Amino acid sequence: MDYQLDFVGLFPYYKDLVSGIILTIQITILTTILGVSFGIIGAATRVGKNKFLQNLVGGFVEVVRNTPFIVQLFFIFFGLPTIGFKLTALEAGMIAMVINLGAYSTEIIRAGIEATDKGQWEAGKTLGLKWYQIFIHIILPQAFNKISPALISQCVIVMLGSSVLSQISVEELTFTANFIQSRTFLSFESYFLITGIYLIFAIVLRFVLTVVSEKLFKTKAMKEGN
Amino acid sequence: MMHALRNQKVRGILFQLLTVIGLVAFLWYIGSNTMSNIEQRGIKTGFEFLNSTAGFGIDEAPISYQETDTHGRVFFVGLSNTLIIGFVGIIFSTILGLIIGVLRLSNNWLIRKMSAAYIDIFRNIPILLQILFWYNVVLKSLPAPRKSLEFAGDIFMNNRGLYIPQPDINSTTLTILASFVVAIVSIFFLNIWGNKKQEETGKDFPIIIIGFALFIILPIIAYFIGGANFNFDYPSLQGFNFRGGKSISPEFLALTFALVIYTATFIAEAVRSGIEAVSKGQKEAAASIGLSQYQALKLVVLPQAIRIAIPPTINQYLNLIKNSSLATAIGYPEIVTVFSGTSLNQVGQAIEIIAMTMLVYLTISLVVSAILNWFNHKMKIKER
Repeated sequence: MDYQLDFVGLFPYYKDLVSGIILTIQITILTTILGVSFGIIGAATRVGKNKFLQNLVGGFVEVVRNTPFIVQLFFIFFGLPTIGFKLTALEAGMIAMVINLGAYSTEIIRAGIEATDKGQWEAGKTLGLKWYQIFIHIILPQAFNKISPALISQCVIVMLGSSVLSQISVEELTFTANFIQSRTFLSFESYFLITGIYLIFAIVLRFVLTVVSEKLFKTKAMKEGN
Repeated sequence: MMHALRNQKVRGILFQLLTVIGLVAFLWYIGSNTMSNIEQRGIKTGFEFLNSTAGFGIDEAPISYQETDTHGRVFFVGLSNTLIIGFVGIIFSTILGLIIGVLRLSNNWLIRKMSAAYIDIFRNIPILLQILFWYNVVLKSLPAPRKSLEFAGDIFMNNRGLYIPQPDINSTTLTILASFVVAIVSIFFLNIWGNKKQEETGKDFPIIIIGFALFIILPIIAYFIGGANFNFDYPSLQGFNFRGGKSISPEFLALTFALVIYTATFIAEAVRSGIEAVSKGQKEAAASIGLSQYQALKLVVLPQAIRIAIPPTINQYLNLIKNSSLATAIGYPEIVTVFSGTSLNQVGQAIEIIAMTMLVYLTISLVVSAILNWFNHKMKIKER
């Protein structure tokens, strides 16, 4: 084994790399925001009063959680055009990721809401608040406080899942790695580099989301209480 | 009219009605849209394509398959490959996960930190990237068949895969296989019998030793009963490639390595949390009533740890099966690659094909979660 590592050989492709990094960051930010919002709406429906919508969202969540992400992606990218929705690879990828994170976070947030004391709903009602006011101002912050570690992990998993978009030729990080290694034959170096970047992404995303959730959902009383 | 609108009941029904109407309109829009699109492009609908000839070859088909077979056959070839990779992956990731999970709680600082680092690193790298890494970096850089790596004289590894000797199927092999099944079944029943006896008499039944003995003795007896005729088909280099023996493709190897290493990190965490969840007082209580360390582990710690560790582990099995769909990136012919990939390209009926694929995974999930529910029900602490 007289193999010499050659990271310098990757240098001519730094522009592809940077654009791959930027695209992955953009996808991650957009997916996290849209997906969690989707999850909040989904969870609100799941605990809401309408039985029909409850079952509809529940069934949808089960289908998404029990099928592979890549099959969902193929369904949106190859399947939807046959019924008249033409999408670019990036659009299809974004929709698939938002739906995926949305379904998982619906389930996580719902668990948080159900773990919140029923008395909180009743207390809100006695104060004369409307359902949505109780949900937004009382229940949701407490629920988020309980489930933020699980939700953050899910966001990181979905961020790592963005690598799958390379299969429908979205030019994100993994696509870039494949592109570079097929051009240079420096397969170990390119994958090693990309792996390092994903690790950094995972750590940074976890850190940022932890800070955000502390800032947003930990009230002063909660901090003192804990 | 306004009066009726203020009535909460009437309003509720009204909103329900509006939702249903909205949904029906949406579905109708999609339906008509689909029909017009399909008409425009001349795409067929329905499942008749399953009977048409596929016309492409599949390298690894566990069930017999030829190019002239139908797309329906392709579906089953893909399905069986998915099940194979799932089965192999589950077994190996359980073993690796158990080991790493226990090492994670070791008293040795270095071992503990190393297994923690293993878990943290491999669960934070996208599984697709790991599959590509094993396939493109490790297995592609192996030597060509003529310069194969050789293990124990009869096992060869090169960039076309792994070649191992394969036993001929005759009466001896079949009896030995049967003896393994007999061993597993008898251990299962011996365990139940031993537990019952222990509850009655308090004597410990050495199931582990007896189980091991059964596993070794029964196949040896079977070897002689079956005629002591054990032949291997050895791989050998002929021309540019190996002939004979059992060959395992690099696609399969890469997928197995990546899935096992990735899934084992999650299983290790489940094992660790299971063991840690058993409070120290339980072990001390067991010691104080005079149980040996082995008895304490078997009777007190493990039953409680398993109850906590199994549900997340089974969830990880499901994830492993779902992640095996990423095989399409390296071309291992499981269901997404051959059916949602190649067949889809030929037939063009994306909705039907992908719906069928989704149904496969949904079914697997439902079966597994039924098993999980049964297990949870069985393992529920019975309070007396």
